[in-house]
Amino acid sequence: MRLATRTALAAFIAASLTLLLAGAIFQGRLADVLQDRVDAQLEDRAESAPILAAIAERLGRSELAATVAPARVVVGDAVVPGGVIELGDLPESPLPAPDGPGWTTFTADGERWRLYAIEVVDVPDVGDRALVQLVEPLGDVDREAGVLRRRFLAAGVFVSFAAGAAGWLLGAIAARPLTRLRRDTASLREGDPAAWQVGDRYGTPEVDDVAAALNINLRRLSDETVRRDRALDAARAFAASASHELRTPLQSALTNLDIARSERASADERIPAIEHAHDQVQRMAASLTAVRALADAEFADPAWFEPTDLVEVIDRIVADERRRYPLATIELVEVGDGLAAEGSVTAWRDGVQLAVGNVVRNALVHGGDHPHVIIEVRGSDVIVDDDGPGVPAADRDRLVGRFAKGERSTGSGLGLAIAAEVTAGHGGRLMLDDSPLGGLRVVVRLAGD
Amino acid sequence: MTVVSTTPNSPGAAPTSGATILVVEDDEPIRDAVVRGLGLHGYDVNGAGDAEAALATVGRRRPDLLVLDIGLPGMSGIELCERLRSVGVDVPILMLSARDQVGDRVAGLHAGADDYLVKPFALDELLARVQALLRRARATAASTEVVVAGPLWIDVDRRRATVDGSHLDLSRREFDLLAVLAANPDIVLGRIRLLELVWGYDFEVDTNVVDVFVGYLRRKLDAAGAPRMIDTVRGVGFVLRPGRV
Repeated sequence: MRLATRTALAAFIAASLTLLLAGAIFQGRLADVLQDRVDAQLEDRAESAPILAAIAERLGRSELAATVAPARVVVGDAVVPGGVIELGDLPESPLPAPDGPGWTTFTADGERWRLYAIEVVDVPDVGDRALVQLVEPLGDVDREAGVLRRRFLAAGVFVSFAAGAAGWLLGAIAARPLTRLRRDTASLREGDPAAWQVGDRYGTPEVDDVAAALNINLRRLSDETVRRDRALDAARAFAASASHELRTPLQSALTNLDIARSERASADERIPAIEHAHDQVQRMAASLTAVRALADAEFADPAWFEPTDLVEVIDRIVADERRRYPLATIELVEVGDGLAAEGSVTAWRDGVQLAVGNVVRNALVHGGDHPHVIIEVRGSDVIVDDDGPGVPAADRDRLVGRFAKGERSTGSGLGLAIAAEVTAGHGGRLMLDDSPLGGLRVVVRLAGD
Repeated sequence: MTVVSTTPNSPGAAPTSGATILVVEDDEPIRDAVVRGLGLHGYDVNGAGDAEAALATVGRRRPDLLVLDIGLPGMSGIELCERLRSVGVDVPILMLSARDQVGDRVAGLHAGADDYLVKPFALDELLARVQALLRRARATAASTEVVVAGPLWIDVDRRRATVDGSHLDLSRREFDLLAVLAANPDIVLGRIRLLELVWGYDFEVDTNVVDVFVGYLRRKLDAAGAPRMIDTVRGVGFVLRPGRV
């Protein structure tokens, strides 16, 4: 139900109830007031009742009728036959039986009558006592009350509807800020999520508060939408790259296997073809592993982070790579207060191993003929220097991207991208620079600046 | 419509081994495997890793056919194809594309390629297309006829097509398709039959080149002011109706 309809209904009901209550009280009082008037007349007449009763016998009835009537004087059988003197226009139906003094209301001839009975004692000539029943019709009073009641009812109905209309109008005016807010909100559906905001002034503090709360949520929603769109774009680009990365070795393996099974191929041609195919399948396997590692790095779980001894983690990498590259010189240097060794760096251990491992292998692949690589641990920074040809500054951003490969790269092109994701997961970043050894320096920063 | 002269439109059986093929592909393992695979079937195959190397090779000695990867670094396969066509290299060009490069594939055909093959493909698929395209290239070079259909005038020998006297600029494959359709007026030709007649594919093949090229032809004929002559017959193929002018 619309707000204006609600206020209209509320005003209508309130007005009706008030008028009904007033009417109920007023109607009772009205009848009382009108009847009091009749009663006063009866009392006035009653004042002359004893005299009237006394002279009832002596005066002509017609004269009495003019002043006392209508009334009935009960005097007893001894005075007049039947014991009752009737004066004036009494109702045709019989009056209530005389049962002592007091007030009575009765119905006769289709209308209500008021009766006031008084007892008169020591009445000369008439006897010891007489009962004078003074009556007055209430028909006029009842008619008057009826007219007033109908007027009141008509006025009540009119006032109730007027209250309803006023309530609707006031409700509509009061709802105007809300209506504006609703219109502003509806228009948000189209357009750039970054511009999703409603106004901040609608004229009433309540609506302004709602708008402010709405704006906060809209900002959150638009941020989320922009983030989601970006993530979707990135995911699409990634899927395209990953599929290319897998399709390429697959194609090569397929063609080599086709050669190997061709009847035209000699044994000398077959064996190298199978070896090529094998290499390509391994390349695919490595790509799949790297893609998985990248996904892990991208969505690193906070629960994986723990106090980590960076030097210990890197020492293992150094030992592995020394075995793999016996001709290389790999040095591990720790600089500073030795905090890193004490495990004061909170890190994702497997992630760090992956990231630093990738950077070190990268240094070894692109280093000199007998590569010289220095790994320096400085707080939560791991700095890897090599003596290779280095990378021109303009090319560095690209190399950190996904599936970006250097001249001599044999890997998936994801190594540095994985390292960058791992550092980002730690609030840090991956930085490429010139190395004092002449080649590339990569800083793996595992904490915020 | 007047047929000045006709020759049977069946693929020639000219031997294709010994033909020279240039494989332009940036991924070395693929290039190497394709070169060896084609070499195994008697072709004289060269490889090029990028567009510049390809242009240099074509400049020294024009190959009989090019196998061209769409996703080359630097100048793309599409640009290279356009460049080759613009300098008058009209040998068959077979594009290699990835499944997610549908738009690129169509752009490749638009740039003048004859067909495409989606990676990963089997060596047999590549061989079948290479053979067919080479055979067709030789067969069309040998035919001589002039076909007239409505406002169309097609001089197969000079490879010239005109609409009401004005020249139509068609790629080699567009020209062949138009010539085949015009030589068979009011006859509905199925896609498989067209692949056979125009591309020389006498084997099962999964491609929509016919539809793409019919689209190009319609656009070019329309631009030249010709009435709509090539109709699609649903579920069957295409027909050229010269009489509806």
